[in-house]
Amino acid sequence: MANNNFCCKCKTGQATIRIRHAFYCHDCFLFAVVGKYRTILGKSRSMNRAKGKVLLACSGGPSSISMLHMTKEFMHVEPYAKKKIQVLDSALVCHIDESALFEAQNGSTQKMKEMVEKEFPNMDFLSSSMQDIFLKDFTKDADLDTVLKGMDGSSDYDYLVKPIKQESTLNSETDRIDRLRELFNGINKNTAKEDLYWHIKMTMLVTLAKKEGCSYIFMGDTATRQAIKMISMTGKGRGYSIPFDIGVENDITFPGLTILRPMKDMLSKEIGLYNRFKDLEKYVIPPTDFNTGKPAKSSIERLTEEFITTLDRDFPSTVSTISRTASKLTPLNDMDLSKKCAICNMPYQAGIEDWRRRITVTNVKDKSPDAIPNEEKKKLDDSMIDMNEYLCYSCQVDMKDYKNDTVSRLPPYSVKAILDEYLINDNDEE
Amino acid sequence: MSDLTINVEFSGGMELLFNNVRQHKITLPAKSPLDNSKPAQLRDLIFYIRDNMMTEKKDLFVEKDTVRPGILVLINNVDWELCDELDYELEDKDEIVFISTLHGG
Repeated sequence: MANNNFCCKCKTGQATIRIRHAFYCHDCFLFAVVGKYRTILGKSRSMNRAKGKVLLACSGGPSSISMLHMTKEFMHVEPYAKKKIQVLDSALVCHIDESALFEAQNGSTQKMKEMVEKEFPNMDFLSSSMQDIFLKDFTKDADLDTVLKGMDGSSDYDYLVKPIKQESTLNSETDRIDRLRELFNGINKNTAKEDLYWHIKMTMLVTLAKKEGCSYIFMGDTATRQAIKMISMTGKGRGYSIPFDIGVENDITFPGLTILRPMKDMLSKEIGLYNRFKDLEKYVIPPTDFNTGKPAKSSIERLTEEFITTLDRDFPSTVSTISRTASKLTPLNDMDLSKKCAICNMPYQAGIEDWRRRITVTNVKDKSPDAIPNEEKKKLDDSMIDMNEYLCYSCQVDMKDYKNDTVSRLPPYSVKAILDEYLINDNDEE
Repeated sequence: MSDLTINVEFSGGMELLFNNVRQHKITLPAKSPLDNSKPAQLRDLIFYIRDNMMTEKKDLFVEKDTVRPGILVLINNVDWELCDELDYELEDKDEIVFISTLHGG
């Protein structure tokens, strides 16, 4: 059991940890990890411009807990350290309770609340449950009685729906929980489930941040997670919005709000070790989602996770190489930010439908390939809406895995976004 | 031929595979069951856990002949990558920790 390696930083301590190709002793490792967090905060454009209240998105998983801990250290300034400016004024820990979907998460809110009160007393705590997405709070000027009913006659490229009035029967918490479960049970593939789950979560975080007057949201994505998302999102057709979905700083898609990912230079291994050495493991709520305990092929993201973690084990530069490439991605200069996908709130490219028709091989009909698709639409019943016009490419693809009546269970914010856009377009045409 | 007592801890979600129990004390023979002339190694411990302590989902802990990628192993608080990994020769009262780092965040 020869361990003759010395720490690469201090050169005196015996190395106890290997990260990528470098050896560290305990103390230097901890110092390096915290240093990465500070570097990202220090380099952030928005943080240098204006201070503001921070919302810490905390799922209870290992990265969120490390992030909270590091943020706490960052808020505390030694009296003698004149150079260090206290960058964060106030922080709010926000937890979205998912126990309606994942029984293993029962009690997570209570556990987190106790942890914040004990370990992070100068931070506030706010929690919301996933089923609250059906409440008025998450949809401005909500009309909770209108839902979208899927109609027959959709081709491969459109998704026809009709708005209908339905007495809002979601009066109790149990009703909302049931509705949430019905929504997810009505989606056939895990990939589509994960996507919707994530979009709903982001929407809730953004809404809560605005409501609480926060100008920043800190998310705990690690470099490993970023690499996985980069590959899996490209595979799902989300390439257009990737810079916003995984970039370290996003102050573009949500005006007035900056989303920061301070953990994005840390490997999941570093997080696991940090939590152990700082004795934070007792607070970690093991993350569960649709892929937990499932075989590798259950969804695109799960497969990508398997691929990357396996590759990274034998080739430790894998994650950092992918991360470096990911951080070079910038949004297109002429991006149209006024059009946002009704489900994921990210900008989408115009002309998706025409593009899909051009590249897809379907049954050859007796029509010339130059036929303008719009002429067909005019023959349809005027009250029908093609939902796909208001969705980005990957959300359109996800919709294909929805069962017939699932679309009527979409959360109110999506329904409203679709109807609002439809009415604007309708008015334009007149 | 004496037995070794090994303190094993599971964390990061791994404890869910073991009835939510984090700390375990395991007794192993001092010689490797695969080769009686050699002392017990870490791989023997891993196979022991897989064969005696797990009733289902074995592939979430062990893949092929080693731990699944994404699981960190600490031997007496030292990264196992610095200690010969599976070939590490176990000593009495060693503390082995398995930390899962999957789905972080």
